[in-house]
Amino acid sequence: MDKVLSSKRYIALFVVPAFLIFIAFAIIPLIVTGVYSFFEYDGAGEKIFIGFQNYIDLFVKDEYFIKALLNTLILAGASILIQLPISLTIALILAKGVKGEKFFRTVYFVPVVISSMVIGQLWLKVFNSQYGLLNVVIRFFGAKDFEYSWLSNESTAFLTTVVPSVWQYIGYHMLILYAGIKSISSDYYEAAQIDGANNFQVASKITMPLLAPVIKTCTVFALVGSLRAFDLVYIMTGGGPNRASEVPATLMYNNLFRRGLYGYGSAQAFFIVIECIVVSIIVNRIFKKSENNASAI
Amino acid sequence: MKLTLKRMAAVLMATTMVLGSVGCASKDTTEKAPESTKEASAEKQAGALAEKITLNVWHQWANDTNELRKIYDAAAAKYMEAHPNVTLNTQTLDSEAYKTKIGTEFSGKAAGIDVFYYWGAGKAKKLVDADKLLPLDEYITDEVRAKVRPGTTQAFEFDGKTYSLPMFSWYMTLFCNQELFDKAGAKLPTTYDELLQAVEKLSKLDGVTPLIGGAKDGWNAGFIYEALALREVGAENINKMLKGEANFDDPGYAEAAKKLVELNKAGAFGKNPLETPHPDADAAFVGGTAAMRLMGSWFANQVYADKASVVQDKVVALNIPMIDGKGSATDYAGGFIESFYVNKNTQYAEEAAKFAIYINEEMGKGAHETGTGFTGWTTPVDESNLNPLFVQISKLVNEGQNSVLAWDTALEPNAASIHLEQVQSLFTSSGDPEKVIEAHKEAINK
Repeated sequence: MDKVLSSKRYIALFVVPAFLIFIAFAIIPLIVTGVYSFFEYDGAGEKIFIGFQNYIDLFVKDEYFIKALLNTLILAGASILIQLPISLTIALILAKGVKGEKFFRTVYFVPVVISSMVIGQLWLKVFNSQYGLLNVVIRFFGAKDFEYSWLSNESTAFLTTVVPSVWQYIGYHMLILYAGIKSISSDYYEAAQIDGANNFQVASKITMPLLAPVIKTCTVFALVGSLRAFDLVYIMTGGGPNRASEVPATLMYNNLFRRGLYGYGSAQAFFIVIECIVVSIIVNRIFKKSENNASAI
Repeated sequence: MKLTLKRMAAVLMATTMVLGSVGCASKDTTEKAPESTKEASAEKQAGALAEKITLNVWHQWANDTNELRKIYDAAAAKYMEAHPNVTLNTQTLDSEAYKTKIGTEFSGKAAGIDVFYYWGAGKAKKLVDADKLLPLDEYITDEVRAKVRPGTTQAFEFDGKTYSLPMFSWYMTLFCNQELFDKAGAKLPTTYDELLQAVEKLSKLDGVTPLIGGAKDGWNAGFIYEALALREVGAENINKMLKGEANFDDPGYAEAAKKLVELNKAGAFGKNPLETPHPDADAAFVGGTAAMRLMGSWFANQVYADKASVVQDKVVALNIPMIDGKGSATDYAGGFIESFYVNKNTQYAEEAAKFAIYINEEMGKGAHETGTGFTGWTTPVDESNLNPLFVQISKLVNEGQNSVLAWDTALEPNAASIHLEQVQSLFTSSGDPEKVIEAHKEAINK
């Protein structure tokens, strides 16, 4: 086996299929999208080259795009500040070996397995203003003033879609972090115990630094996932009411497939890709220092 | 190595393309003609001697239980029996996916499509402008032309050429639940003022929405505004505007928007109009929790056939209420918009055109007989199985003269989207008619 892997030829042979598929289904479509984004194109007629005009329009002419970007930032913020801490807490507790560890691990992971379509429908029913669970509970406690049409009100529609988005992937990040914690050698903990460290000290001085690479991965996933959010927003509000809950991906879908603005929609798609790449690079930079610290332990 | 890489890339690309073009499509059962077709009649023999060809036909009735799908399947089987040399390879996708598929195919040559279902007016115009549709004039014989009802082909004619013939039409109807009107002591509305009064009375009934909108779906919201605009502005002016021959500046458009806001404030569409999508609104009406629904004539079928319907014998079909001193009672919303078209790049122009003409006629007839729409052909139809509500509507149809299509089908796609979004915004508490009208002007006036 070592012999096989030491030969560059064999390595190339094994890598080529995956590489080709990647080129055909990721790189080429990306390039095509990039090219379309420089044209005014309705999908059927002539393509007119307009340079960077589509990109300029994104920020100058399109009143909804900036709003959509801000919405994804809210979602990204919620993912980092609410979702990840919850996931980490659950992971730390489970990894410490509580009773029913396996059971809870599975339960928290269930929402990840369920299709977004189902989750969307489920939460639509929770937030429905007439028969929705939330308003029924509010009514039960007699707090009629707090009854609200959550999804059809411009000021709450987007925040309402943030709730299931954050909720759905708690289990996903929990599982990654849990696996990360489990892979930390028990030697460190034993040594700490001998030195008389308490639980909090163990978590903050040993687990967290050693977990930095895993937390980085989770942060990248959470951020990129927020920036390209589509499914739950599309199912729950469709970007409405009055376009208050649009995210860049719903705008892009609308432009490409409803309005026939292929050029402009492609520019939005390409922007989302660039945005995601830039964010991943930034996160990697930020974590580089703490990773170095971890390797020093 | 380089060469191998290149070759492998080529093979992979080819596979991808093949997979891409066959992907997502579901194959239909109408592919093979029954064995019995090979028996003799002069025409059939002539047909059998002709070159054997396969026509690829696309439509959007993907669901097996769809009434139109059944009509199509039967008509297609009949066609293959009469033309043994023609095999129909029918493929379907459900509506949104279908629109995407056709859009993507026609950004290229759409090589796998000969005949396809599409919408006339603004949607078809985009394809006509891009030179993608085959004009059917030379294939439409005098005999065929004589069978087409007058005034049914506007949506399929561009620059003096006919690109398709009609199938069936729809008619915008105000469905009213008589029982709820009686309970509220309201009068069935024939004018806008009466409508407003009825809304006020009906909104006092517990758990009843006076006029369920379904406004979460843009086109449902559009219907309500378009109905009001029809009465304010009149069919003739609206049609000019939709065709780009007149600007969107008649003061009636703003009046219609104001009236919609007025209705909304009166509680016509319930507390949260934008929360209800189209299917839920339909369900509310047939379930007896909504007193009115402004919908296409096809809804009559659901009122009758839906197992959950508790309103079968309680529904009265009315025209869109008039606005005092404005518009003409013979104007109506609806008309002929759906049809089968032929791809200009087809290898078999003549056969494809013949089939497109045939299937449009058959679909029109079949839709009429099942109470789905009103045929655009003079071919005799069997009306014995029609439900009474559909018969009520067909009486209204007979009085209609000038029709306006649903705006989102008549406008070009971008303007159509803006129109629907803007109208939807009128259903919020912050709906601003002036802003909506300005956005329309910007999108439509060029």
